[in-house]
Amino acid sequence: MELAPRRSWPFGVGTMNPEVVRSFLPLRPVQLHILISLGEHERHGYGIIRDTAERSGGQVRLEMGTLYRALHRMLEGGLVEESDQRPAPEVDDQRRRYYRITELGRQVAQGEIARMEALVKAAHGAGLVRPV
Amino acid sequence: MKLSGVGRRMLQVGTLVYGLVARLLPHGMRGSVGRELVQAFEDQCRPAADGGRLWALTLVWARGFLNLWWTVLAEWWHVTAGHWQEPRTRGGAGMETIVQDMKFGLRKLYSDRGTTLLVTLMLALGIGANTAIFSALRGSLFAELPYHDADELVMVWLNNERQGIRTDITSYPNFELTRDRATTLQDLGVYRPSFSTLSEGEAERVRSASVGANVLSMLGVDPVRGRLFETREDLEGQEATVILGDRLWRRRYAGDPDVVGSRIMVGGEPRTVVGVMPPGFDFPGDAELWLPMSLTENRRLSNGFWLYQIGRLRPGASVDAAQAEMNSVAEILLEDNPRLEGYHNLYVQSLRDHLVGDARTPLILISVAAALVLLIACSNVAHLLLARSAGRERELALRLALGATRGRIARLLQAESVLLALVGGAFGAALAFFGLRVLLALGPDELTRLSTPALDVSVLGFCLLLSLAVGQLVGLLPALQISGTHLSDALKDGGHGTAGARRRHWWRRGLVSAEVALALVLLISAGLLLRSFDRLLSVDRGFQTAGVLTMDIFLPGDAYPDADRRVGFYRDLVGRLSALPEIDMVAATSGVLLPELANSGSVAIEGQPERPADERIEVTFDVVTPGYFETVGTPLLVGRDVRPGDDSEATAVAVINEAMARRYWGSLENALDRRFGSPQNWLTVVGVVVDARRTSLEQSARPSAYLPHAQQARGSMTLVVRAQPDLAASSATLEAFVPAIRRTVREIDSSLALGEVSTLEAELFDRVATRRFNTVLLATFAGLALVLSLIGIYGVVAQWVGERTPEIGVRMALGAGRGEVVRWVLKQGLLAPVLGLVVGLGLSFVATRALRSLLFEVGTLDPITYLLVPVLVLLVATAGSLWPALRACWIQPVRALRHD
Repeated sequence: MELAPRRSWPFGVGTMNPEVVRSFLPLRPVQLHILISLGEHERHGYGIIRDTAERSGGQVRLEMGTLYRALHRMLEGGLVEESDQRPAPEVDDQRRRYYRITELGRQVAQGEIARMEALVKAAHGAGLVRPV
Repeated sequence: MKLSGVGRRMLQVGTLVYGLVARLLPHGMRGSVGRELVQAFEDQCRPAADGGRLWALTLVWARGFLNLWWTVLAEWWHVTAGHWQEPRTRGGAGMETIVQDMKFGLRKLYSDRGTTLLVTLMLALGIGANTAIFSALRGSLFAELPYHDADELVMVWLNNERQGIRTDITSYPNFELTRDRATTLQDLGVYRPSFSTLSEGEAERVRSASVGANVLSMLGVDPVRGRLFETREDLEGQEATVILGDRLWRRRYAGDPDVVGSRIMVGGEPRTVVGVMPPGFDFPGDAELWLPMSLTENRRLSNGFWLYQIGRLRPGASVDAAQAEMNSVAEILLEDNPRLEGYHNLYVQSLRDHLVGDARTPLILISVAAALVLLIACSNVAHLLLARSAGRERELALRLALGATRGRIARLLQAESVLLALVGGAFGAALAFFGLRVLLALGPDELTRLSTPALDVSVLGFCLLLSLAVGQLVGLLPALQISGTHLSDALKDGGHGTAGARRRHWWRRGLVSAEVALALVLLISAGLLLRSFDRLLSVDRGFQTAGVLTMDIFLPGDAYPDADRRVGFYRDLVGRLSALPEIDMVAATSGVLLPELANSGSVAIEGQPERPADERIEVTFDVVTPGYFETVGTPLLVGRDVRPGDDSEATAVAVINEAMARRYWGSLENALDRRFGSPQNWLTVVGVVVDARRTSLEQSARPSAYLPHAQQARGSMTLVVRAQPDLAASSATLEAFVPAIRRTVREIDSSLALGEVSTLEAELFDRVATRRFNTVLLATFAGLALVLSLIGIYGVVAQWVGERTPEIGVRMALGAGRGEVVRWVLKQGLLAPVLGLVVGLGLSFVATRALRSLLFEVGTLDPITYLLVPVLVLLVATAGSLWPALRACWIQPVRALRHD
């Protein structure tokens, strides 16, 4: 099985071209949810849905088609890749595929968070945010 | 984890359909995540399916499918339209946008009521038909059998396929050998369906079953009172016991709990009631009473075939595995067993297949027909919507210009069509409610054998899903159209003459061609079935049914122990009845119509060498009283009828049928005075009657012999009564003298249990019920398809004329005559149907092969059907185009030129 990311990166880990990272921004919410969920550890698709629901206290319910469409796009873009690490055989289901975040994915997520933080800061500056 | 049966089946079906829809995804996404998507959907449904919470499952389905359709559409757009901007604000279709779109859709549909009504009606017909059929199909394919882990239950038969009998019963020694060697079965038992007479108080004849001691416990159903039979209770010398069914217990014993332990008279013998079964338990079919099989030594050693075998698979073993094992058991069984010559294997069949077997093929065919009708309705709706979206091109272009994304507009159109389909689906569910009643009223018994089909949650869920899918499907075309709209063109011009309009027109013609092709396939199939049915009814059956009543009579063995009493009873009865003024003729027989597995025996023919096993002489035997042939209208060809003098003192004689005479003696005259049977007991042929198709109208008569009752005195006979010709006209007048017949019987013996009275006509009718049902249903669907195509053709031609009004005006202004205009429009209008006709004929050649097993004396390429149906379709197509054509020729050139 071919497991390498679809878009290989010429500069080596840790030195992503900021232009490339920026080209993915802003992320769609579903994409950010996926990256956050995979940031912790590898998961399969349904696992991402359950994790996201848990993390948001049931607020975010990703639909199956929407999730896999985003995953497909992100696989193409090299933000996530398929993992060859599988759980212990007794809990494994051969039909399932596990995904993990790539270095590019990590940086894109960081870029998106930074973008959001800047937005939140701006909102504070404008007095839109109620002090806690 | 073990899933509930219904939930599991729904999960399977849902996942299957989801997988099919997921195949519509573009190659890229399907290849990378398609399979996992389906897998994850199954995971998502599993908790609801597991708990059997059908509502929750339906909700998960609805969400999942809606989202999947949206994903399919969005992904296709992504792949095909490079210029299309995905909305970034929200992943996919957020709920509030959908609600907003739906609200707008509702307003739009209300403002265009005519189209809405037509579309709703067409969708309601299609969805309703499919829902009703789904309900019927589910009843027989997916219904739960009322036994514990019913999927493990199998029937084991002797297979004699060479003689056309795949499911034959067996003997006790064969059963023992099979049971001892089967490792894939945890249990194997024997039973035999029968009748029993309950004789204290008013005598009553009920359906019963003699069962091996292990059979009831193998089925895993607990009695509501008392106990089941115990091991060895089926052996000789045990206390005579009986178990009652719920209905019998309530009806005859008023639900008395103390009946357990009491003694009742069954077949003239006292038996102790040991248990009462729960409601709904009637194994092996309509039984109300169970007796332990009385396995005397004689019976255990007998080589006669009289036992049905039912077994339970070991957990984890499949029917295929059991069959594989039985193949080798059969080899041992068949070795050195002259009784089994001609048999070649054992056949393992799941109990479900045994119970619903025959109904399955036609139901699947009919559901295909219903699906085709829905497709035609969808295609009609699609081109109506396409025509409407053309009228709205300006509005939509304006929205685009004001900044709406193409995706948003496409979703708007989808929301409208989904709304339409949901309304259509609601009406469809109502139609299905009535349709199902018609189905059940017309349908054969197989439909209700396992469970009565009803509109329950899962059927309504199916209806909802189907409506959603249909809504998405019919909205696809107008929505795709949007991606090709050019802003400036559409704003400048209402859509006439643009590339978009031309493309739309080709789309619509394509749809009409497809409709006509599908309708033609249905019509030809229906035509073939109708012709078969006609042939079947006009086949020479060899007996007359009009005005003939039948009634079963059972003489209990204890009251009529010897032949003289039985002969005396029937002689007396026939004599008294023929004295009644309403009755023309009367006789008794062992059976007018034969069951599928009729009693038959192999015989020797005097003076002819013994034949090899494959050509064994199998003859069905019946017992008749004098006058039987005249009563049922079977003509005597040569020789004489059975007469009163043929009694136990006289030579043993038989009347045979033509098939037997020709097969074994070459000609009718040759057969007279010849002898057959066995050297200890020769029967002399005294007469030959015409062949009567008594097993089914489809099967030609088997060789049959009729023996005089006075020489073969049986207790159970069927009374055959022919009414006076003036009374025979209707079944109502026939019913009128049933009491007189019953009274006469009771005068002779008041303790007799009388069977149902029926007319021969009705019995014959029941035998063709399945075929009639299939034919009527397919013909109805074909008719619907034809009407829908007519609407489609009319719609397309009318639209075309509307768009070409200026051109027609110019032609007429330049001197074209009315006839010329009509011809021109007709030519345009008939192009698509004729193309559809050609394609449809090609499809029919292939598709009608699936009907082969349902046809009777009609080939799959029957020339009359293939000639008449296309002519009919052509006529309908012409009718559909003619009206717009006539309207076109009355166009006023001046107004037409002002039209734009």
